Amino acid sequence: MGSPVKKIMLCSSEKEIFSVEEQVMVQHSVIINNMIEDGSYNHEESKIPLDCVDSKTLKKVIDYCTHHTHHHNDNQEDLEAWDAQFLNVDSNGLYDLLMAANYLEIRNLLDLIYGTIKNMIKGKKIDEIRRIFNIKDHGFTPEEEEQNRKEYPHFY
Amino acid sequence: MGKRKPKKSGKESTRTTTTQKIDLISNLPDFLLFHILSFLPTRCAMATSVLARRWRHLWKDLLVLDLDNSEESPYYLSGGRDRFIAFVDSVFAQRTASHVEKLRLTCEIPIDKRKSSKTWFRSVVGPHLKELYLDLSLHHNKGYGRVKLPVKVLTSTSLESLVLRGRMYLAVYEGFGWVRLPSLKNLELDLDCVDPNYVICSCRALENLKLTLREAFPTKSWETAELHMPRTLKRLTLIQADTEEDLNDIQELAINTPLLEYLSITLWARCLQVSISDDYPNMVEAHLDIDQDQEQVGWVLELFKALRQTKLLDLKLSTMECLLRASPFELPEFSRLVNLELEIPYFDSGFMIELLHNCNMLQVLTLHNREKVSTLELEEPNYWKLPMKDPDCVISHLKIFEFKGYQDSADEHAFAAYLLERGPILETMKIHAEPSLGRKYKKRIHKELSRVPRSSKTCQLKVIT
Repeated sequence: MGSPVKKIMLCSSEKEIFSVEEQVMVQHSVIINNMIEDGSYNHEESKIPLDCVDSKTLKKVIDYCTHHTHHHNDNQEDLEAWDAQFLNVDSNGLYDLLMAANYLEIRNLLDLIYGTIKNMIKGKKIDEIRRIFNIKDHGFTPEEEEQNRKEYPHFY
Repeated sequence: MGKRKPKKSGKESTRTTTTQKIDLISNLPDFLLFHILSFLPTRCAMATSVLARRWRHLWKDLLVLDLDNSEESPYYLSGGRDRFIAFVDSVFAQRTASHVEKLRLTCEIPIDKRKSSKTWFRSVVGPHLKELYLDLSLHHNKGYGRVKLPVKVLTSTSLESLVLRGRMYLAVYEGFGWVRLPSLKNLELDLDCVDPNYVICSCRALENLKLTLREAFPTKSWETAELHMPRTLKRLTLIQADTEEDLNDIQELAINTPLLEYLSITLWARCLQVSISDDYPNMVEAHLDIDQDQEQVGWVLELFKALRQTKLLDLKLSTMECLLRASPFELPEFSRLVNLELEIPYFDSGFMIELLHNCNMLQVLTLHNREKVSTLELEEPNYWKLPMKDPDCVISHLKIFEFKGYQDSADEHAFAAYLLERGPILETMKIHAEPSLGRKYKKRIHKELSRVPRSSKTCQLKVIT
């Protein structure tokens, strides 16, 4: 008889509790792996508070880790398609995910997000990038902006 | 849009729940921003200095420089080589970071700008450099020349990944031993005048090697062409470049690399003496495209046998021909083989059945019959013999069978029909009818094979041209 799947509790900033397979989080999150390994997590009573991750984001992060644990044998194309769909979020969502992945140290999710942001910048004009990232206040004076335009005519 | 007021709204550290779009970038902590920038080509990272004030100097601290002026690069600088050199000079002049961890540099250096490149190398090559990718050539009015590779690159203790391509030469030759790359894990060499053996022999921790052989060796007439692969290798790709001049014979090729997991060889230069590990127990994927004269086919067979633990095996036509010419040809048992791809000079069902008997775990079989279609339609005899015992893989593992260059000989048909009839877990059978047979044939093949009773209820049969 196999032992039942071990679960751990994660608590979002809204104090909502999520129960996740331990293995899923241990495999992906360096921080949680460390907590389990050094014994600072007590399976009986403790939950891991994630005060800077809201429920919506936490749910997505758990989705990501679960999918990548159970589908790591899928072919590369399928995984990439799933990832692309997963990151099809607005810039708020992307920001939240990035901060969460950074906080939990989920390396492959971080790389995925970095890659996505990189592609949002690469080969684009300045105004376009500002629009994509919603940079409203660039902080340059009109004179400086003029100077910039002279210096990097190709990027405007 | 009204004029933007120069107000400072930067400090919005606590984000309330928003339906309003946030300024993604401005909210990111510096180190994350920095990290994102280090994934970008330097020209692009530099341009972000005008995105917003906060970005202004960020790129100058980057430890990664990606300076690619190949024509395929989206950041190709038009306006001549000199312009790119001036750009790189300005990058180095403006940077404030103390060292470089990663550099990629792809460009042609005009001969009168050689000094610039020397200055760049001086500031890059040092104890913090981990990854270096150089694809360089020297350009002068008569054509191309070679760039001198700084000696320090080949004695770096910090370097983990090194890629050298294009036209470069090594400055010093003091025989073996002066190259020292103790931390190097990844090496890619594609140079026309550097004896690769000098470099690879000195890499004690090398795991991944991609070697393109050009006329590089022997560089001196009294030396012999030898290649000794480091024992630590996990991945080896050996490619003979398709150049006008053929390579000299390789006197000695040693692939005594018991940790090897991936092997890909494309080679037709004669290898006179080859030593191979008895066994590569970790082998996962092997691709062989080797052609040798009759006197040399022995080692190809030896290599084939040593690959018996692999999970994927892909043999090109010339390699199959070498194997079939070798005597005594005997098939090893491929006990872990899952995926087999073969180009065959002609189809022989007897050989195929024997092969299947030696591949108990096989799930995917791809055959490519490269025999020239004879224009005469002869009534050929049917060589098919029903096997005394079904190969295990057919009964319990084979899921996908693909047959390219199918000529619909009686033997081929019987073999395909046999797999349909006896393969209970076959999922897909895909037949690529030899195009020269014409459309009519395609239909006929489909009709004939459709008639065969299938032991797998879910098996799909596809016939395409």
